Amino acid sequence: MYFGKIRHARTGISTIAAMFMLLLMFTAFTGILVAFLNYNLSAKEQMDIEHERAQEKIVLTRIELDNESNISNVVINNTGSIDVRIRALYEIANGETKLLFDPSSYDEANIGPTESLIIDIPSDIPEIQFDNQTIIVAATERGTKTLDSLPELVYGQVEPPSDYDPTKLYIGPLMLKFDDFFYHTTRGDGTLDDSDWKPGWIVDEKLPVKLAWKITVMNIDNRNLTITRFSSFNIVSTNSPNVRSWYINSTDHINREQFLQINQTESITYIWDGPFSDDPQTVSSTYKGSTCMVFLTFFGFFHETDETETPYAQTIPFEASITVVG
Amino acid sequence: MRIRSNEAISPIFATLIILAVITVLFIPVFIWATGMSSETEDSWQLSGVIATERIVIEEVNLQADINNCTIYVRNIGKTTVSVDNVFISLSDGTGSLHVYKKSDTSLTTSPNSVIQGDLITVTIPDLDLLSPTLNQTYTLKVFTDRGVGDTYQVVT
Repeated sequence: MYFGKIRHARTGISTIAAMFMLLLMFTAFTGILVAFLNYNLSAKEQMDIEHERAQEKIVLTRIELDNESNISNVVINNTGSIDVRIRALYEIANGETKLLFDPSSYDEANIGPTESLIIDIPSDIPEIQFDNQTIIVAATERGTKTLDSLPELVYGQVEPPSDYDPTKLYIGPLMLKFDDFFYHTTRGDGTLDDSDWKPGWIVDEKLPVKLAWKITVMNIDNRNLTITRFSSFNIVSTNSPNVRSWYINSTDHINREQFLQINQTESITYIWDGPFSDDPQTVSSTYKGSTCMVFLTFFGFFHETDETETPYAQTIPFEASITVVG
Repeated sequence: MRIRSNEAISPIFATLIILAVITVLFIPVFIWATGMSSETEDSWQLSGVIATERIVIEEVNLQADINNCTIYVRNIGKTTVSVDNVFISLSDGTGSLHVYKKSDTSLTTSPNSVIQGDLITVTIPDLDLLSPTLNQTYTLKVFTDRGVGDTYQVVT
């Protein structure tokens, strides 16, 4: 009877003990679960950071210098697919790497995808003298750096894009006057017929036709120059591999050479179908409806001050093309 | 007068005694169990913090014949970091590993710790036995106080 009662009373105890146990286990498992979920969240966040970082790509496209060859600003393009924030500019010169400044602490430094940002060098930063060995590196907030490419160097104040000067399309002593470009129909002996010089960009003649071309050049070298009979005007059809050359009709008809004085503008006429030929070149009917690129090739010699002669050659890609209507 | 029975008291005492015994027995079990779960919890917590800790070495100024070094480290993780030590060795595996620790003041950092996106400048004022020579490639490893690191190679 007595033991029976004790036994009966223990049923209540076991309930309490079980509750203790359950509470304990619940607390422990909840804690572990929360911590595990927190870890999972952290891991995901880190993966997101890496994912965003993988989408970042920036290129330093331009460095602008002032008149004293100090860097005045740099232009950075965002070529990635995510917004970036520029957080550091470094200068590497003579093996020394220096942190210049944090652009974001001076101005807006965010760049959207495919956009670019001009970062002006603040006045409180010591002048950054630029030479050919200097490397400028920009870094984003996610630690992505500019690619190893050579930026374009711009001296002085940057001008907005405007009509470029096509007369500057030369490397050499002869500067082409781009606008002076004409053609003339010729007779069978190469003499010009009674028509006028017409703008050379479009040839509207019945094909085949014998033509002469006229261009204007200036000798910008510091030596006088003579070009020889091998100098030619060449057209290359963009529709077919047709190349046709006209050779100069020089002022010196015997030697077929043309003297070009320093700083003098001269016209050069091309008529002949070969350097030794007396036949004018023809635009054949195969050129009908075609567009042609033009190249000028010059051969000759410089007249040095000691009266010796130095060989000379130059090619001018005429940049624009002519259209043969026919 | 004789107390007829203590039957009414016995169950209460018995209950109290059993409760006391169970409680006493449960204390070490409770401490052990909660301790273990809290250790596991802490471990996950720390793993979580470490998982979001990430640094990158942005630039290094290590020059031949110059006895100091500057390392620019960016925190790109979610947590605040502080740099604790730097290892420098020759990349070809020759030579010894040079260890610089904040604790022995062989390196200094500015600022002491940084949040996400910020830059920490690590300066080793005296490279001691490491004498960088020209055109050598060195490998630098920078570690935070939680052991997260990044590696960078630099040619002097």
